[in-house]
Amino acid sequence: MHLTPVVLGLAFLLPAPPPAADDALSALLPEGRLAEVHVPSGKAVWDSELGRRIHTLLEDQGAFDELQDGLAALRMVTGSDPTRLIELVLGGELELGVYPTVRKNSDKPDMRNRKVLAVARTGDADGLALAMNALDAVLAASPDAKVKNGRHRKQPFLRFDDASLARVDDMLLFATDQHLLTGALDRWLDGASDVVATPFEGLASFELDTRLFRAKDIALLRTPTRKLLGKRLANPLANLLFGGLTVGEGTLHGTLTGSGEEIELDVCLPPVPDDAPRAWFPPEPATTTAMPVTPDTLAVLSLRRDLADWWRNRETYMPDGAQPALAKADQNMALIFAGQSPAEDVFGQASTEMALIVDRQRFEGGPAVPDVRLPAFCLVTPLRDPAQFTPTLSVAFQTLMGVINTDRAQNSKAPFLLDTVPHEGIGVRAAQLLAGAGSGGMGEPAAIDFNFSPAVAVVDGWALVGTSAEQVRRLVSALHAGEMTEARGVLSAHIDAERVLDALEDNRGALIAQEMLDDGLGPEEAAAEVDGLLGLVAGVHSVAGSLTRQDDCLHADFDLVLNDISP
Amino acid sequence: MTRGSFAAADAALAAYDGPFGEAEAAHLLRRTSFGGTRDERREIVELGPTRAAIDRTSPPDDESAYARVLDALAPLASADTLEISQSIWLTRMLRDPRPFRELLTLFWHGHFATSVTKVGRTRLLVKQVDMLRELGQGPFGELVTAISRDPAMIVWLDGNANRRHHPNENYARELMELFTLGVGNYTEDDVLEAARAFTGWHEHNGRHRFNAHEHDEGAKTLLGRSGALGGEDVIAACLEQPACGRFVGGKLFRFFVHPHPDDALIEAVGARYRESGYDTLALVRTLVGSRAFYSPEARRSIVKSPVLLAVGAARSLSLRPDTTELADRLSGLGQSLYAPPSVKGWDGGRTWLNAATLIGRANLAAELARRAAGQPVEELFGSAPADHVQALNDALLDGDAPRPLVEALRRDSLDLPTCLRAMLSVPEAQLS
Repeated sequence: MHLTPVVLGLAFLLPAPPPAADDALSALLPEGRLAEVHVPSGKAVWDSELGRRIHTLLEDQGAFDELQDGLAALRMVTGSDPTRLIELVLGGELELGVYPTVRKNSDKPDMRNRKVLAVARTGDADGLALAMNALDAVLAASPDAKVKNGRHRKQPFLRFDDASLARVDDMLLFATDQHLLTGALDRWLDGASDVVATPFEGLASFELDTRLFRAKDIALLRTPTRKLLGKRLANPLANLLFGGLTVGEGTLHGTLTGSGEEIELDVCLPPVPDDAPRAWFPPEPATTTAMPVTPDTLAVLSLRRDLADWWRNRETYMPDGAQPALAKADQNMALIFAGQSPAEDVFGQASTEMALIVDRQRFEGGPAVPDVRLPAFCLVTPLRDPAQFTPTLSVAFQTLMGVINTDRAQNSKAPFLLDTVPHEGIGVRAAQLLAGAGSGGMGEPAAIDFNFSPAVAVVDGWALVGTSAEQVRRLVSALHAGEMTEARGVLSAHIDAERVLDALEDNRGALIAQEMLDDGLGPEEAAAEVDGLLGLVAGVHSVAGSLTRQDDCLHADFDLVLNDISP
Repeated sequence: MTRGSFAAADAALAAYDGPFGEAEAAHLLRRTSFGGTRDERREIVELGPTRAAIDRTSPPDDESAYARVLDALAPLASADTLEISQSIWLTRMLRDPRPFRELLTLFWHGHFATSVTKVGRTRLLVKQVDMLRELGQGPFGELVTAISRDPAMIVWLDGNANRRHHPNENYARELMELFTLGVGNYTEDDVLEAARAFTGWHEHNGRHRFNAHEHDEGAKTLLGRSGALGGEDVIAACLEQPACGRFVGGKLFRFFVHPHPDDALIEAVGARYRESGYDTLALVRTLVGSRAFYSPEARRSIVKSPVLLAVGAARSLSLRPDTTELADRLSGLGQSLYAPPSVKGWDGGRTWLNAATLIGRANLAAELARRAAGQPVEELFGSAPADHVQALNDALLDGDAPRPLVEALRRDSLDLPTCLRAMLSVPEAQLS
């Protein structure tokens, strides 16, 4: 297994302390690091609720079986127990630095290959010495191990392949590159020998220098950094959601804390400059916006964006390669909206606050209940001029369904019937498939199309555009009753894991079948896999995250609340 | 054709009574079951050729485990997408304890080739294939009647446009040319009259509907019959023709036995088929139990289609491929299930092999090797083999791998996935 991706993966799982003090363990790390992870107590991580869950998960999957077998074999062969070394290293304070390698014949960093330096402080110099003796014995008994003894300024170290290992006092230093190890030894020998524990009390902290992560070939970091989230994302949806996330430059730091069943990750991204694009960072409203939810809402994704500016300046925000498709989309929208300007007359009508509401469907009163039950999606946003936009939306919906029905007719599929359904004094424009071919009965299951009954409504100044008339009606009721949830910052999401579990259980049979197709499993094995997944989801109460613009940073926080699963 | 050639043809169709060892068993499994494991070969060696032919073409005594597989897959059947439908059919091929029914269904799918590209609704194609599976082993006449009423076929060959005052010849022409008689065994007038007889055989809401208002009830004359003929009469008239037995029986012979039968053999096969009332299962059992089937001319004489190659390798090693991904690869190799290239079906034979598909077949072998690497070796072979080169040779090539290849793989101590790729890439692996 390649170590570096694991380390980098850890860097994202864990997260930024205030900059480390000079006397902290990080003082041993040479300059030039891409990323740094600090874990004050490995034992605290493993003892946390999150650690216990991960441990149980790995144990259930048999991940430790091979390790246990290997350790047992080593004990038999060498008479030494390597377990103590693992306990000391993984239970103590850990500091990890990730560095770029340097290209041959060049000073430029090679982002394709990384090197790692890890420092573990065990707090038990004698125990570590004994454990290292055990390791020596293990290595000596391994015929394939190409171990060499080395010295750097009289300080001994071990070298095998490209990796190096040294013990100083109660600390173990490990590097995938000998120069990194000797660099750390130099720092220790030159005065960092009295480093003390960092006062940080969370589970872990990390720091990344985002300026060093521009290279396109850093696969693992590509997604969350500039390459994908940069200024000119080609995918419109990704652009809308994540565009502008890395407009600031500088370091990124974060912390992971855990308290009982709640695990929180706080990340401080480089601050957004004052002249950041308006589309991604429009002015904050005077009051906090809340979004409607129903008892069946399983997820809410809220967004603050200036859609009109985004669409009007799409040539700036999205790359040249995406422009032909965008021009076509603009034409199609103009057609559906009866010749009106998409930027000014359509997107310009939406406020800067919007949300995607995802609901579990109940299919009450519908023509058929499909075997595969998809969730319903509804886009909600307050309107700038509801009186003007209501007829526009209604006509556009009618035109769109006409186009869809024409296409369905060409493929011999049943059409949607357009209707206006009164609900709490509001006319919900809805399109519904008629019971008939594909709607089930006569031994046939209902088709997946019956998940869709597109609907639009304008209520109390809000526009609702959804895939399910049932969901739109419920959201109309929610707006009337004031059943709302707060939308925080420029982007926020909340997932109710219990509702997600309900939606997954609705589709347990389909998930089992899909597992059989994907992995070639038998029904019983596939059912066990799916039930394992459902069990994992059952262990989670909720997941929430938000992105808030602050003066000193763009603050991201993620909150994972687990269910108490103790017997 | 001489009396001697007829006698030789009859002799070729006589029950095989020669040696029946693992090589013969392997040949039978390749042709009736996509291939098989060594245990299966040993099982049927005990039966002898005649009982083995019946055994491999009969449902097993206990199908409860397979019924559970089908039940578990049912919730996705409504998804009505081509990818999932292809994936489910491949899963059936991989898991059916008697895959002969899937093999024969695949034959009929190529014979009555209907494509989702025009039909649009995958669900209709799936129902058509379900029908082929259900009726494919029975009398051919019932199958032709069912396919004539099949909604997907009606959409495919413009049945709804076949109206009393504007007959559409598409279905009538293909019924004679491709489904029952073959070119040269009917006239243009027969086609026109048959089209009139099928007027009003329409599709509505995914079901067959006889539209009496659009049916031409006038007198027609075709293939020696006259009167107010309907579609059923056209089918009966086609089946009465000796050409029908030769055409369809000959096609079954080329699929199951070898691609180059002479005229006398085809005549004999056709006669047997017609005399049996077009009992397809009886004919196939005769064919795969015959001397012709075990002749040197028949062994490894058929180029495997992509589906036969992939499913055969997977079944022989108990591989568990991602069938959605596999279906996509097979489409790339020219065999997209539910989407044959035209009403003529797949050309088959040597046309499966060209520069592009050979590379594709090598990539398919690599993908299967990747899946094998992720499975315990005991799962692949039943137990951990002492020599995985020999085990792969037995499983995939029935021990027929070229000696230099076997020696090279052993000499270089190559790992199992690499050996699997190599074995699946040799010419022998491409032939059934």
